[in-house]
Amino acid sequence: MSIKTSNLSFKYDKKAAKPVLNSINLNIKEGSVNVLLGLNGCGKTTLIKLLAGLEKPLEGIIEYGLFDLQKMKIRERAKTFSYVPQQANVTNDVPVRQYLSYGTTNTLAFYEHPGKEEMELVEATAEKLHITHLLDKNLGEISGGELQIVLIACALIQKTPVILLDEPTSALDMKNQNLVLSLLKDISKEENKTIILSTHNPNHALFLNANVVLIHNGVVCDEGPAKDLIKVDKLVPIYGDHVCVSKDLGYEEISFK
Amino acid sequence: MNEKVLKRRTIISFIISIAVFAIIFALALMLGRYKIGIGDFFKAVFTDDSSLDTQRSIITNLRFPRTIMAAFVGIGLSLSGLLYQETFRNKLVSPDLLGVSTGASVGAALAIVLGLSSALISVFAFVIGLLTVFATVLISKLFRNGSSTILLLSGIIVGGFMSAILSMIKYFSSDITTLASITYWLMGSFESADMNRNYILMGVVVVCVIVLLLISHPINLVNQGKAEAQTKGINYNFYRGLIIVLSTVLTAISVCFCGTISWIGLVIPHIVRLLAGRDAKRTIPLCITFGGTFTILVDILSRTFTDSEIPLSAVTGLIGTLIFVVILIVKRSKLNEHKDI
Amino acid sequence: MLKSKFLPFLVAVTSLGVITGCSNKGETQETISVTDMVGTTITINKNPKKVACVSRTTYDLLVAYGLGDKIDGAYKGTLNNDWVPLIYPESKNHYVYEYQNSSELFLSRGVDLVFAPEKYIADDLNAHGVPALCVSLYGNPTFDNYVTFLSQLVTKIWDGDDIKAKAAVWENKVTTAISEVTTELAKHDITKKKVFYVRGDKDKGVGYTDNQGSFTEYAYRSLGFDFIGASLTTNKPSQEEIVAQNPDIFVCGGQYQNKNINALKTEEPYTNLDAVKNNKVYNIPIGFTAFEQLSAMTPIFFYDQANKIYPEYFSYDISNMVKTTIKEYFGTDLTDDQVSYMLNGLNPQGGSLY
Repeated sequence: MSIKTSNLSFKYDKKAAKPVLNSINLNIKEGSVNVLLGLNGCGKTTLIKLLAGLEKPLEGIIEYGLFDLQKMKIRERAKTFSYVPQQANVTNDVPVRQYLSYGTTNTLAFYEHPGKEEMELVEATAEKLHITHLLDKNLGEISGGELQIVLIACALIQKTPVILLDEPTSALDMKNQNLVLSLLKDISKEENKTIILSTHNPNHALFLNANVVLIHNGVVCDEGPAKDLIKVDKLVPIYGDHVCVSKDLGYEEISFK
Repeated sequence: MNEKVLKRRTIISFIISIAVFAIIFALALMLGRYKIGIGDFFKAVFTDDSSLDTQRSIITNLRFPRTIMAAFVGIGLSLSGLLYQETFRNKLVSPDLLGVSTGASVGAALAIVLGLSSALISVFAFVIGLLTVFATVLISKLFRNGSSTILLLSGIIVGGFMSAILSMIKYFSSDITTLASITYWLMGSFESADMNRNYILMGVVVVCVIVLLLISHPINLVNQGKAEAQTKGINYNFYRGLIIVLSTVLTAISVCFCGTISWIGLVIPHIVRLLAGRDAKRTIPLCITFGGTFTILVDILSRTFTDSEIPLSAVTGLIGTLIFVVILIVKRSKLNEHKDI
Repeated sequence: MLKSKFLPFLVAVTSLGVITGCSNKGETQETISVTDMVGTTITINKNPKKVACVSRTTYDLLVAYGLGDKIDGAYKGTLNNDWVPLIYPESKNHYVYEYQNSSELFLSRGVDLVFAPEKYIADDLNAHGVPALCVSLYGNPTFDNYVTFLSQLVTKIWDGDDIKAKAAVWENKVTTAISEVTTELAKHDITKKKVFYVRGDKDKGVGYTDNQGSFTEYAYRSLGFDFIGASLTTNKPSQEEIVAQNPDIFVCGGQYQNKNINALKTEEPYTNLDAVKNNKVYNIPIGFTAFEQLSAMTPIFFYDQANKIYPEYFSYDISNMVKTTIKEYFGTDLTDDQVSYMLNGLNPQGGSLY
């Protein structure tokens, strides 16, 4: 099912003059990879949070197929959208395996704990993402990159059709950024999931060959496939005059001179 | 930590702690200021021999009720401490976080100054303890920010306010009698234990424990914070609210019968987490057995070796602080590596 | 200019000097150096006219020796006794003091001597210009050498042959009472009995007693008993401790004595004790002061306890002794009923004291 937002607006402080997001209209197709691109503070994180149901819109609606997201129960929403935060505020001494099992909560009754079946899913997912060696470590013992992959694994375990990621690579070094982005690319191909992630780096959109939504000052400036939108002339209004293209690596990459 | 290792450790710890609980319970019935030999003990308990009437009376009317009270108070305070530590993601908080103990102290002090009966002192303590937490939650809502930090802050504010009120009450109870009574009550004692109070205490604790065991998985998720819990399908606000209610009731019912006893709610969860990790389905049962055993032990120590009873908080303070140092030493390497207990 | 301002100032200062000088002239106060019960020596004026009897043992003897009109007030615990206004109606005029009172209060009331119950209270008052003597409720290590201390102190502080005479009579009566009882008891082969004293002056239940150093410990030891409180570390033994001690007799004093006697007779674990089963639980009367506290009635206390605990050897006419003594010291006539109530720990109307 596609995700549609109509006239979506949001303010953190209701008395503020300027809304953080202003009349956002989006139409996200099922199974697509989407990148919300913009500078820090443009509102892309807020948009992800609204989609995840962590904030309530000031105006407008978000629809998943024919369902109004606002009217969805928390459990229903957890079966539809999974959320990978930018900086995971997880508890350090919980083992990775235990944490991953939390992803199965949306299939359990409130009095149930993850059982044999759920733990098998955890093992399988860990194997797929090559993090089996991390399962018995505590969340506080693994590196930032590894943690990000664990969070993505948890989102996969939730088996939701939509995965929302808030700047999944911001805190990672280049190697790990590449790892995570490749993982996302594979997931979108194999599992037909709708992926929506926010980033400030245009190259990520190129790498993922995603649909790009360009956001600036809380408003959607432009929309379209990465190969059409990630061009210097489209990016200068937002990123400034120093934006350029570098052809050294064999493909076009946006850089700064 | 390896899941299998944790599971095995939990099961072994649980079985051993149940055995230890049974042994300590029996010891509590056998030990006391009034010496009863082992032979006499079994005769007094299992026969009607009238020559052992005094022994029987001491065992059934003095030691049994207070041992039961000690066990259930230990369970209540340990669970309450565990829940607050998990919910507020802070391993240094205690059951008085949101002001329930201080509030209960004010209630009891008021009742003592008014010269009310022992039963009414408990009622006042319980009601004002609950109202204090209610006030804390209300004030936190003023900030229109549902975060745990704000709740913690409100708890400090309201707790501080109630502490000041308590000082005022103590000041105005200038009579040597009531001030001494208030101070003694605040230090904690199982002296007033009887089976009527115990029935109420047991009923409340059992109901709370059943609910907690049922929601142990949501508790794990609440521990991860609102964003995590909510996006995985748990109604964070509802469960956090429920957890706060249960913890408050558990603490209030304990404090209203036996005064404030410190350190149990802080230390027992740490011991339990050392063994079982951080999964509520394991830590809750262990808090029950460890907490109950520990508190019975504290009671034995407070009443057996001196002709008058040592206040409970004094005993828990001495033992609790020592245990805490041991825990920190055990976790020393982890402390240095991750700068986090 | 300067002169015109200076002159009134000079007049004011001189007047002040004259006035102060005037108040210093007149009676020359006779002073005396006294040592209080904890060994502090201070110099006070003789014949004080406004005494605050904060230490609870002091009010009774002062009134008994005819010094009631020199009293400003007493501790509220002392005055809060149904028998006091009956036996000594003038007590209604006496100020009700707390245990701790500020120096300002005493100074504003013109108090010229305070009998304080503890050293730190006396020290504090003396430091702030209020003459205070510590008359403690406890002797160090025991009360043996302090029985006549207050009586002697009073005769030193106040002049008057009648006071000295009354003191001598009282002291004599106390010594006589003890020797009479102990001599009689020595004639018989009696095994030493263990007595547990239930204080009962506050609602703290049975487990509230006195330790070594108290007058009660001295009194019961003099009567040949083993006073359990002397071997305890605090004055609040646990229930098990009391049962473990297994007293031969319980003596219950204070306003709550009948409540405690009832508790002993009906509540576990006390009901199983031999003392309770053999009905060896006794009242200690409360009159103007509780009998087991140092007071005008102290000689009668010894006779009364002897009567109750050893009825086989003693049968003093306590009722008559009480009537006579109260008439003698306080000028009040009591009826037979009233005396009977007193001896049973009740109030003048026969009702409860608490």
